[in-house]
Amino acid sequence: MSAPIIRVEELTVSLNTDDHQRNIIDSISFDMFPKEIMGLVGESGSGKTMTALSIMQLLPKTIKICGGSIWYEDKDLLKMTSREIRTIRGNKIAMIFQNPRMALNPLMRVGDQIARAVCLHCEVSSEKSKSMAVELMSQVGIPDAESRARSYPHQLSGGMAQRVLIAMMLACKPKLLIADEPTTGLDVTIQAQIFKLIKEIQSEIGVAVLLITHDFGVVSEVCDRVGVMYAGQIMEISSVIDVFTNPKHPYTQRLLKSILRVDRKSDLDTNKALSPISAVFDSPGCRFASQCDCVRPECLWERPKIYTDSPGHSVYCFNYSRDNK
Amino acid sequence: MEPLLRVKDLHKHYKDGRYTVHAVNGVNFDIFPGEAVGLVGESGCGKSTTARCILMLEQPTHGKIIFKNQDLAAMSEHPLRSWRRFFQIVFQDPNESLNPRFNVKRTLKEPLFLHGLYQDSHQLGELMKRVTLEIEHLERYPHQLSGGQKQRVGIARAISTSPDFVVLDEPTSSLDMSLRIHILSLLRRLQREMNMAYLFISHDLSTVHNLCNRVLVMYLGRIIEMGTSEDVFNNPQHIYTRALLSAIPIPDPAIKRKRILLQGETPNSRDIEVGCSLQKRCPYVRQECSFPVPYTDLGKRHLVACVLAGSEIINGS
Repeated sequence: MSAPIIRVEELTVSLNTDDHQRNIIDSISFDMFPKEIMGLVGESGSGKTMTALSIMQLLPKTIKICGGSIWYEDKDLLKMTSREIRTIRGNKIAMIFQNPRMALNPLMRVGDQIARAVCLHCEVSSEKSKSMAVELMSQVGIPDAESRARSYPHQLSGGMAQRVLIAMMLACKPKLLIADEPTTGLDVTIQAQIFKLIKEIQSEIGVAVLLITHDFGVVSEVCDRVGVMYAGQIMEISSVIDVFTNPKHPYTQRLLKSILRVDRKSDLDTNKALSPISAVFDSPGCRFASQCDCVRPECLWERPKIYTDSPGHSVYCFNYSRDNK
Repeated sequence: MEPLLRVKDLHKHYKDGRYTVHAVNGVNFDIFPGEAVGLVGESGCGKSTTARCILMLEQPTHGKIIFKNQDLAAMSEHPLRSWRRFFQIVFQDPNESLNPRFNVKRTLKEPLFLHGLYQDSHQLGELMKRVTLEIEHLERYPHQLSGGQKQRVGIARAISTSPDFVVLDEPTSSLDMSLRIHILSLLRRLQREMNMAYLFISHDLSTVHNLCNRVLVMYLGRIIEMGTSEDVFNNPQHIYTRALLSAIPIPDPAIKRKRILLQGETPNSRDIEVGCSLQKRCPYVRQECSFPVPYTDLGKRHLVACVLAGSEIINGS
């Protein structure tokens, strides 16, 4: 396998309040390889978005990275100055957001916004950038791009606005695209169109995609690999096939059981509800331990080591570590 | 069996400057006692407006809402108020539908007081137990409760007056997967215990499939297909229903499906056309589609407003 384009190593991110510090991301590590689509799934509060914002270096001021490193092509993003980061953010690593209309400037025509991104990263004249913007818009499937370029964000539907963001990201041919729940709030038919577009672009320009979602259906249809997160810890990383056919971590198993499918009826009554994530952040061990059916004593006070089941399938769980077999 | 609720030719139009927005455009259906009916469709199709008209939170522009043989649409405000204890609603976002200054006790007491049903605090304890909340939660305020607990308070408030009919307006869309299934199983248990009829509004077809006996599919203010869950989900006959179902990702990498992609986006409900509302987006559009399309009955009250319903073209696609 080729070298990873991004390597997250023991990243820890904490939220400091007046009286205490809480690690909202607790020492997570993963790699991403060129041209793959990797999913990051978890429930709300599991730290998916914070992981993405750490890579982009766009964390809010109250949240600080307090350990680990994020390697992009032999450079640690966390040690870069803000000037250096700006040559990478948007250019090499781009991001599209959950609420596309919020990510656009409401006072500027969308064509001009794309042109600005083109200008900033591609060193072309402003005349050229405008025609490139229209070109990009028709490339992402916006009909009648020339007149659409003159619309303001509020005149676009959610699906169109997301296409505009994708066009903007395309302007610089990034190596990594982070898509943070890009279809939340869109209807399923539009969601299908957007994912089709993302997959087309991915195979065309060979960008790697980190897709953040809470929908296992999307994971199954779009992703190659997936990381499952719970309360700021990664529980399991594996190929999509393995996660569905051979889930190892008790949390993954529990999560998969709670999925409702449209093509068949599930048994609603067998599932216990999980307690809210906020209650488990202060545990020094595995954060799922207090709700796990196969909990061991060491789970409560020690962080589980990584256990590799087969190449590319790793689990953070004591039940699989060698000494316990 | 006599239907509990009959909606007859319901229309709701809004004026928007020069235009008229046809939010609901001739909707007919019945709901029988104790059944769960799903109302599905994409955003802007008129699901919530239909529900709000049924509950008389909006005055319908035209049409009858016959609940227990009384036309609610023709009723004046005063008698309507006493009828409200029989039909209730659970809203989508508990953060916005619970009063932040009321503790749970006051929230639950209010409807009971209004309808003269309040006896003692023991009654509230019973209600809390019904929705699997603890007695000590009665003293809490909404901000002290988790999302799932808040939604359960919303459910407790709706069932407190022992209604016959409850509208559930996307009650699980703000919840995480593991909680969603828990709330759905609670709703189903309550329905059986109290013999309530549900109108479950959702754009999430998988939850509807798991909770409802019957499904209504709405598009641009009209019901384009209705039938039992089995018929609509396993044998959809309208192109729109088929496209909608095929767009939902299935969490199983072993399943590969052919997707029907509709062209473009849902049009504005201002420019309502004669004939099928899908005609501009449908890949199988033909001449007959520009005339009003009657329902085809495929048996067992499986009604489809499509000229191709039951034909080879649909079943081969």
